[in-house]
Amino acid sequence: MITIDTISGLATAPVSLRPAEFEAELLRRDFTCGLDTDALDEPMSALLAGTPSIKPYSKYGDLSELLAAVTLTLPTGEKARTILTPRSAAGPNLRLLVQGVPRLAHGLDTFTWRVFERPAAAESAVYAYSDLAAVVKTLREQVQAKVRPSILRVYDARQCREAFGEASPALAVLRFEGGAKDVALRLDRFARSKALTPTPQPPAPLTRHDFPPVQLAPSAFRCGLTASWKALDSLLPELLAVGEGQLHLTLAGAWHHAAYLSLSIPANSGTPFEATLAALKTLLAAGEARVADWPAAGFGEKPKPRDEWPTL
Amino acid sequence: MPQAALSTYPVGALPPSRLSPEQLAALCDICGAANVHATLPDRLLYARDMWPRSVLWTLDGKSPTPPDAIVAPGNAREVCALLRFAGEQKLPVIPFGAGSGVCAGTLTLEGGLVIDLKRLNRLIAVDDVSLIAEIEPGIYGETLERELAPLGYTMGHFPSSIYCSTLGGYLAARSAGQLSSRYGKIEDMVVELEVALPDGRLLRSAPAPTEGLGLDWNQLIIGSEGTLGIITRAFMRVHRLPAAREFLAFQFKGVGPGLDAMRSVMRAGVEPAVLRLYDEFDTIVAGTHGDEPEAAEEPAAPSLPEKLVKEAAGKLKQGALSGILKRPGWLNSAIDRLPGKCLLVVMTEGEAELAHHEALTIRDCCLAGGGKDMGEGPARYWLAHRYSVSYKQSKIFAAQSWVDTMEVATTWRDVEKLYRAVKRAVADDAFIMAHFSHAYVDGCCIYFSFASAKGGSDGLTESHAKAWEHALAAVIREGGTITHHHGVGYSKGEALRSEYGALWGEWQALKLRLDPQGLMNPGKLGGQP
Repeated sequence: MITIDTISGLATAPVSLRPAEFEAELLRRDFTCGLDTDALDEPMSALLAGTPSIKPYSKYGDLSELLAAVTLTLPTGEKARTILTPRSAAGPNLRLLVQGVPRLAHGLDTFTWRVFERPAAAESAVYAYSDLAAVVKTLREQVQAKVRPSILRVYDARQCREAFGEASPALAVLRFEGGAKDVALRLDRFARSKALTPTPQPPAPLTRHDFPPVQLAPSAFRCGLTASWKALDSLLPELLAVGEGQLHLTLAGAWHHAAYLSLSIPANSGTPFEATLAALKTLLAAGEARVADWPAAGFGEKPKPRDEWPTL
Repeated sequence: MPQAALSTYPVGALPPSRLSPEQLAALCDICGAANVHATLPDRLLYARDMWPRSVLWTLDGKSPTPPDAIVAPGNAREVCALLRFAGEQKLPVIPFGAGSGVCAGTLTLEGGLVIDLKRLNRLIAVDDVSLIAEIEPGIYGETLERELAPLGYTMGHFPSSIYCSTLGGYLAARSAGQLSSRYGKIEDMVVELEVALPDGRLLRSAPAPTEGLGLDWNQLIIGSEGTLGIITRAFMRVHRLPAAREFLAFQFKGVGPGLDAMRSVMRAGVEPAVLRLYDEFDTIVAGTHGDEPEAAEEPAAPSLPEKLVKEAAGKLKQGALSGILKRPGWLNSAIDRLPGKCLLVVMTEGEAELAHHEALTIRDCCLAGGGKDMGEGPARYWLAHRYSVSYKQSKIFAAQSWVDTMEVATTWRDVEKLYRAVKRAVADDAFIMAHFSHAYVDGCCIYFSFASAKGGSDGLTESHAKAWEHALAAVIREGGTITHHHGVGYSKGEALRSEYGALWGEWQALKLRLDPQGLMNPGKLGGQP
């Protein structure tokens, strides 16, 4: 079902595959796709069509960097493919056209993914911090210096308490993968960051499969945002203030210039819920953040981007 | 459907501008009279870029069809007004940066308006938390880096054309700088774009990362070479200036072992600023400049082909090669018999601790792959001379020869196969050499340089066309992309259709949706004028 070009590090598979199945098969053959597939429930077709329920993040790159090529059946029935090449200057990136236009994305047949040799070493670390802003700043500085964890989560105080039994304002869960020296160096850089004063770690280090799920009622409001680091500086305290302790915030993706924030709040929490929703819509309208995920129903239409581009 | 046809005129008999006094007056109203040009010298100057075939025309006293006028807007509002005017008057529009493209991306095939964007040349702001710079497209690459450096930043984009190319040109043609293995190609650096559409609307794209946000307009506009709209502002990733650099170099016994070492470096998860492997002849041209380790045994006397090739390399450096270039097949054949000595230059940069760690990892990979340590010299020499090569080309043209470059890319499995296939395909047309750079986890770019004097002064354009035809056919046959960072322009339009295959119709539909009158840079990216 999966073919691997082991020299170039490229795996090709049908889009009906689920990310976890893809990763399991790759691991069996000593490769990894680089994604935290435990957090991805939909088949690859949904991920590739730009509709995942959680924003993929990995040290290996954005989804657009990990996906190398696709084959598809055009609405006319004709078979098509995007060129398999590390990079190209041959006009616009047609792969992204295929992924972004529903009538084309629905015809996806196979995908080719950049895969990586199973890392020689992998270490997870959990740090509890006394200041959410400080851990976000440290994370930003490390990522901008090209020290990217393969998986990261930063949890707010409420989640620290509910999921970990920790009384800290913030908890960072990081996983590093690579060569043994590389992993040690990167872990050490986080551990000795002068901007932070880690409190004692929770006793049991987390593994890839142990990231705590946030248990909320199905009716809870959940959304995902991307925002620049600068916008995040003001956005985080504002949301925490209006959420009045009811809000669950998780920073689950970090790029050179931006971060991905997942948030949820019980819909029956009254004023905090109403105020959070209002604050969100104001931030989105001002262009301070962009919606990556928005509930399918019950909370109004997904906020539109600032400018309406032509539909294709 | 055949590609758009080309016309040339004797320089003394160029067609006059077709714009009426009323049309010129309207342009002056939009941009100011000082920024509208329709004199013959101006039109001649903007009639071509640095596509070698058009350089040959110039040497032959000919010019391609010139534009009817050149306008230089000073802001995005004026760009939009110009596009609305062009739409109303059905005038072709050709966006123009510094004119240093080598693929005929700005040829004015049927006249029209050249919109010169160099007045939009400001570095507007830098967000020092998110490391995003807001920049206008007409700024020269070198000027941009010179303005960023005192603020403590770099964009990390250093193409060899940096002194004569603009940010807008980089974005239009999906450019790559020499440090792309660390900082990415230009498309990897874009956060957000402001674009003037053909109907005169000014839109901002959704900022990257855009997964989950629908169509990624950033990545459709980048590389569209002015055929979908005009970029008026870009929000680009910048980086703190590197605190440290480390230099390494290794010699390998041929292209194959060198490529294996490059691959192992990239698969080890490091991001070297430079990882550049020269083939046997390019190694001689580049010069090793290394700290030669003590020889374990007496070096063997150079063979006859080796002597002749070294002599040819010396002449190439001096631009005095026309005699040899009349018989490229002979030189290519001699090069094939050279003993395998390929130079890999490496540079890491960033925070000192990380740059050193990466250098150690790379060293381990290269030594394990059979590389001979050549010290720091070759990499330091490369850095000091990294912009020199292009300036030697004029000597070759002056010697009644032509020189050109072709940059293609493919996956690691096929790199050497593609390299040899292209060399075979043009062996009788032109002398050819290559280096391998812009390395990624799954493959790299092959940068071919080829030159010929075949056909004599009357037959140079034909020999140039033939060499390209054979080279591109080989690239397509082997499954590589026809261009890694120079773009398509007019010159590779037909090859683009082959590369897109069944998706050609989708590209045409996208073009039609944004530019229904077909006025934006007609005849480029395989389109009709």
